[in-house]
Parts: sequence; C-alpha cells; structure tokens
Amino acid sequence: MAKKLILPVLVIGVLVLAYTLFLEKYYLPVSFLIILLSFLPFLLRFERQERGAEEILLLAILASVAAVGRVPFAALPSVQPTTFVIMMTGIVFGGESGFIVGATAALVSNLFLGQGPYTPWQMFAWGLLGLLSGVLFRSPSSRRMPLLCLAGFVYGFLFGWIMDTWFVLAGFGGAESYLAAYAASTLFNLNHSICNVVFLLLFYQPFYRVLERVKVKYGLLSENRFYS
Amino acid sequence: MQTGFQNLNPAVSFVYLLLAVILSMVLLDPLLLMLGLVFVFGWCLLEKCALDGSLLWITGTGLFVLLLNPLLNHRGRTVLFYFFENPVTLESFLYGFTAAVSIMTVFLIFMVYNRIITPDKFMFLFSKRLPRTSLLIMMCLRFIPALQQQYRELSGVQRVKHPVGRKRRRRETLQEAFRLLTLLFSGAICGAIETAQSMRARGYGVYARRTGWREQRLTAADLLASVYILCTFLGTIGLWYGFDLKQDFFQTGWQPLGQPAIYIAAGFFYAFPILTEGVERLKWSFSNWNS
Repeated sequence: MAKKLILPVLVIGVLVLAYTLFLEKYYLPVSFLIILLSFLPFLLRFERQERGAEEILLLAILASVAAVGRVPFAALPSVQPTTFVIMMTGIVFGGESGFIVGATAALVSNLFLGQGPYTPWQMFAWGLLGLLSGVLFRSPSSRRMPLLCLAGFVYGFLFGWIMDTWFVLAGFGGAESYLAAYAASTLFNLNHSICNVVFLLLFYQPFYRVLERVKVKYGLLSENRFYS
Repeated sequence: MQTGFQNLNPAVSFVYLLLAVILSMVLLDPLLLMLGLVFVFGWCLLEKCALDGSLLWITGTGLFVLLLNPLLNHRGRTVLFYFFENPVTLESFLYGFTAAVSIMTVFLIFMVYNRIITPDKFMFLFSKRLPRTSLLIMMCLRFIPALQQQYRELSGVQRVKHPVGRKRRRRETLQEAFRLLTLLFSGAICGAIETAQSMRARGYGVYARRTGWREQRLTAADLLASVYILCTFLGTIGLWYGFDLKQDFFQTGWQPLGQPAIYIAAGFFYAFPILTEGVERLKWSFSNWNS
C-alpha cells in the first residue's frame, strides 16, 4: 500500500515545488522540473509493459542508429540523420516507440558528445518528434511523400524552437527575446529541415521496407498482437 | 587512480552535482554566482577536465548572453547610452551578467559531471529502479561503437571491390554511399533480432528480476559528506528564501545581499569538492613526511 503511494506523492510534491518556483519567477528550474515530469508516463509504461527481448533490442538498435548518425556530423550545425531515423520509428512502430527512441538517442549520443543542461531538452524535443510522427502518420494511407516531406520540414523548425526556448529561458527574458531568438536561428533550422527532407526523399522507401518487414515477420511492437 | 570526490559513493556525488546545478540556477545574485563560478572552475582544474576547446565556447556563450541582453531588454532606470535610438540600461547589463555567470557555471558543472559520473556509475545509480531503461541505454552504449566498426568494415569491402586507378564519377560515389547506408541499417536490424533470440535462448525474461553488482559500500566518509552537503545546501537555500533575498534588478538595481551569512554558506557548499581533494593531498604529503 505504502509503496503504491510513493509515486503519486512524489509527483504532487514536484508539481507543488514547480508551482511555488513559478510564482517566484524562477522559470528555468520550473522548466526542467516539468520536462523531467513529462518523461515519466513513457518511462513507466516502458518499464511495466510486457515486452520481449526482440522489442527492446529493436528499440536499442534504432536509438543507436539515430545516435551514431549524430556523432560524425557533430561539427556541422543541424545536419544529421537522427531526426529522420526517429521519424521512421514513429511512423512504423507508433508514437510511444518513437518517443522512447528519440529520448534515448539524445541521452546516449550525449554520453559520447558530452552531457549538458540541454540534454533533457533534446530528449524532450526528439521524443516529441517521434511521438508526433506516430500520431500524424498512424494510418498507412497518410504516408505519402509530400506530406512526409512537409512534416520533416516543419520538424526542423519545431526542434530548433524548442532548443531556443531553453536558451532564452536561461539567459534572457521577455517576449521580444523569444521572437529574436526564433528569428536568429532560422538558418540553422532551415539546414535541419532541408536535411530531413533530403533524407526522406532518398531513404524513406528502403528504410520503410526494412522496418515494416521486421515488424510483420516477427510481430514486433505492433498494436494488434495476433502473432506475437 | 581515483581520489577525493571521485571516491565518494555515486549517489552522493550525483546528488551534489544536481544540487549545485539547482543552486546555480536559483541564486540570481551576481556576487554569489561569481563565488560559485570561481569554485567550480577551480574544481574543473583539479579534476583535469578537458577544458581547452570547451572553455572557448563556454566563454563565448557567456559573452553572447551578456552583450545581447541590453540590446533586447530596455527596462530599467539608469540609461547608459542610446543604441539606434533604443535605451541601453545599466540594469539590463546587470541582469545579463547574472544570467551569463549562471549559464557558465551550469556548463562547467556539466563538464565535471562528464568526468565524474562515468557510464558505469550511471548504471549503478539507475539499474535497480529502472532495469529495462538502463538495459536499453547499456545496449545502446555497446551498439554505437559496434555500428561504427561495422560501417568501417562495410566501406572497406566496397572499396576493395572496385578496380584501382579508375576515377569514379560522382553519381557512382553517391549511389554507393546510399547502398552502404541501407545495407548498414538492414544489417543492424537483422543483427538485433539475432541477438535478441540468443538472449532469449540463454534465459532472458525467464526470471522477472535481473540483478547487477558493483563493489560499492556506504562508508563513513560518504555519510559525513552527505551531512556536510545537505547542511550547507539547506543553509544557503533557507537564507535565500527565508530573508527573501531575490532582487528585481530592473526595479531596485543591485545591492549587496542583506545577509552576509549566505555568502559563507554558499562558499562552503561550492568549496566542498576542493576541500575533499585538499584533505587527500594533505594526507598524502604528511604520509611522505613521516616516513
């Protein structure tokens, strides 16, 4: 009984703490608390759901492919196939897997590139993109190239703006600074967007075929589990 | 060889780093933060963090925040000068300075974090509560170098397949890179399935609980350290909130904080890693001196 109560009490405690900090205008600590709380439902579901070894391994390899793509391009700002791989995961295996792969890829690649205060934000941003892809492209009929490219393009800006938000929260304040930051990062975001679209155009078909085949053949991570 | 702070229990050092980040984000007072920055920087030097490249961009970020703030924020009373007809105020400089020091301190703390919380300590901290997540992260840590290795092997094979001396056209090179990436991807996926089946064959998932082990005891030093950390942290945060020391720079400008005790408490908090390291060095020099 007492063990079941720990988590809700903890969550409520964190929320109360966040609220008092918010009233005192400490926006940066509040944002970190809320971001960490947003991981909780996915984390808990991942820990509690019945999952075979194959499914964990598949998520791990997808996150590693996404993370590996980030390391060699670290010198070029915003150019990486990470978003593309996370997007593919979301589309084929659903939003939940997309979130897990996105967040894990950010965390793990930063174990190589160096953690920073931006790690939770990156985890959140990439996780969100994975989740969004899963929700938007749920039905196979919606997976058409123009729509996919549009989504990839928008994702570049979405990701950039989320990352700008933390920086403005940390160093500045006031509405004008947000607008200025969003405007200033346009070039980087455009880089990211174009890179997403290029990857989608080139690699969507072969990657989709590989993932779909694994999914059907082994009955992994699919919503209807007839054959698992 | 691990000494001083690195020898502490991972839980203690993790909590200390976390609290240090929190303090550096909450105590928005230029003098207090400067105190923190100096101590954290000294700690970085002691731990021999690879600072050469990072120092440049950390300072760059700080300068960026410091210089851009007055241009974006026009609140405040003391106008220093006009920049393209926009007032640049002393208060916004103060605010920018505070924010810049705060950001730089947090970045430096993360530099030390990377040095101290190694991946195995990270696993030690989280594998008990979150077994599946930490398994996932652990496997990713193995897969990333493995994938890089596989990529090198594949590209080596592809290079050997082609006759030497013929200059390839750009289209061919591109096609090759394309095929290589697809190959790597499908190979990785198939490998993952195979690994999973082998894990299952060895009994993964048969027992509900997985256990891990790392030699780590809670020593008297750990207990002492946690008491010290908690006391100084609670003292600092209590003084800060108890006397409501937060100032709105745009309203009142900056004055030294009314409670000098908070400088002492925060100083003792930030100095903790340097103190532990210093005690060890002293012990070392005395042990040499006796013999």
